[in-house]
Amino acid sequence: MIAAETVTVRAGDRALLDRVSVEARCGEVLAILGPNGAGKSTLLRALSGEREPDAGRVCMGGRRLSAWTLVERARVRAVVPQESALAFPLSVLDVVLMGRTPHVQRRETVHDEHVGWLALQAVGLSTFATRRYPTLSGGEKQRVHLARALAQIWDARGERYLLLDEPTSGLDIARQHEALSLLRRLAHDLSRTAVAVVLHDLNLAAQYADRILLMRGGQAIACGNPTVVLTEENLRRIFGVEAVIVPHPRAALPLVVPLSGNALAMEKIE
Amino acid sequence: MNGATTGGSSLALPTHPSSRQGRRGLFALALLAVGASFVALGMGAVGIAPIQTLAILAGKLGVDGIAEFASNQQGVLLSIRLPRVLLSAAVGAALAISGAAMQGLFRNPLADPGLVGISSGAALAATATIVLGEALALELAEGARILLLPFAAFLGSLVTTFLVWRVATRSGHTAVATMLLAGIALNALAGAGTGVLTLLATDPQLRTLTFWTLGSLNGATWPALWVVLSMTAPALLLIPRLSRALNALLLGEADARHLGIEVERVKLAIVLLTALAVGATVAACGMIGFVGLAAPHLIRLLLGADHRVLLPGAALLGAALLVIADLAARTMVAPAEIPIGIVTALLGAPFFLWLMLREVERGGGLR
Repeated sequence: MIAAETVTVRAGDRALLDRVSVEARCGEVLAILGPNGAGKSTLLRALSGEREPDAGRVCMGGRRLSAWTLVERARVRAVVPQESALAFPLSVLDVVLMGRTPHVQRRETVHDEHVGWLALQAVGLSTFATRRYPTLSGGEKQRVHLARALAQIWDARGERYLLLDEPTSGLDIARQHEALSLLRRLAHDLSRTAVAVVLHDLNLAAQYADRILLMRGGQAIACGNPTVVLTEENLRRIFGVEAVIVPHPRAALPLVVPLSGNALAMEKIE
Repeated sequence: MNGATTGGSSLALPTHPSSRQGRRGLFALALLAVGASFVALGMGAVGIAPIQTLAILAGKLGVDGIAEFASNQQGVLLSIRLPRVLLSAAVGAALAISGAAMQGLFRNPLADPGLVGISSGAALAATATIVLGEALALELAEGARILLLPFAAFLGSLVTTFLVWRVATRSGHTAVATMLLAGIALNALAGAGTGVLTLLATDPQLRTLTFWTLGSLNGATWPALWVVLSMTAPALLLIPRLSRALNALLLGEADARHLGIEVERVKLAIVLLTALAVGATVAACGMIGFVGLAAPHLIRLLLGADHRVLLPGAALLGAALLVIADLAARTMVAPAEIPIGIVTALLGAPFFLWLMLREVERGGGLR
């Protein structure tokens, strides 16, 4: 389990996170939702240790995060960034193998390369291994970084943690569902991986997340099961949108149908 | 998805393609460097055939009778050409590996010891030593004079590096853009300082300075070589050990930390090692541009950006390039010499442009 306990993060006078408490439990996918500037990425940065909280604390596996060394963290916890600065002509496989960095002593073993190939396969990019990374499309690059993160924690013992910041923003609809179901399988496999993912698509979150955290203005507003959290009232309060929640036609899931301006006008006329 | 499944998979795994290519590339580069050195040892006012070169070197190691050679050939080879070729190789390797390391550290293929102010700081300190320190140096023993210039240049590069570092670092985090900009400002400042010193210099000093600003390996002696070797060896031996960290840094500093890399420690090590190496090369043969930029670029184009191949590859190519450039510098208009800085630009720039254009046309691009 990776947990934020009343975490506050400030930038100057402004609180980017205001006493946020949330936990990503092993065996579940936690989706973090909220409008732009709600503090989702900051929360992820606090959970990963990239940003030291100004108040409160972050615990991973029951231990304060600051008590872990960087390598110890890296062996069990991977982070997928929103976008990467990588612009040098490395091959896709080389980028994925970077994920093995915390495990490698002197050089990669056959096992490390094996893990790299399996991770590439898991994201459907095994035919891309020798392609140079800068020549890939945005969505392909995102999948490469997902594979890198998978390779990093692939064979970690005990609890594993995966933190992702909008990993689906550049993916087409099929790839979005592939990526999310991959995360869900990863979390549920032996129930020893905690996945925390920042998402924008409410319905994607409803389908794949075990729990949803709704954030606004640096605060955690609601957290829980998708059916409990995704209410018309919450969407109005947090996103400022009018929407109706209808039952999913094929599964016991909520389906969010945002109402356009036109639809609202029609409603009033009627 | 768990560890147990990875061992027994029936996947047919191709071997890692780029590591094989990298080994072959490094082998070819080593051959190139050794071959260039052999050619350079034989060419000049006194011609020495390759077999004679071999015979003289073997004779030095106690193996006689490989070939006939004259004693003046032996003298020229051992006391003039060998130290000069080895110095070229050491300087070229040090400049290239420093350039490659800084480019990785700054995630910017334009970064170069020259750009961040390391070279110009070294040049300012060395100029000050030449112009102001002449009286002082005359008092010193011969041995101490050989050490004075490299030491001053190292101090100069270290001071500029730390100034840049201080300006760019806030609460333990170094902003790369700020560091590059600060480097540009300090470059201008050091250039102005060097200019003022030039005005103060006497005519003989001025000739030394001019030649030195454009770069020359004319002063190659065994003692000078030992000084340069001892100051560049740490960079050449230790920087390759940071290649995994430099690879991770290509992703960005935050991502490198997520992979367990102690980023600030790596930065400090690279800055210190490059300051030491570049200070030594500037002191020994002035400012030689282009090698630190071109050699790593070429290796990236040919063998990819993996630092495990890039760092040794750039060092080997830099050594070969500078040996060839120095050969051209001293033979093209013999008995006169062209400053090597001019040669590196003349030889390297068109080739570099051609490679770059080719890569852009292929759709790769350098970025």
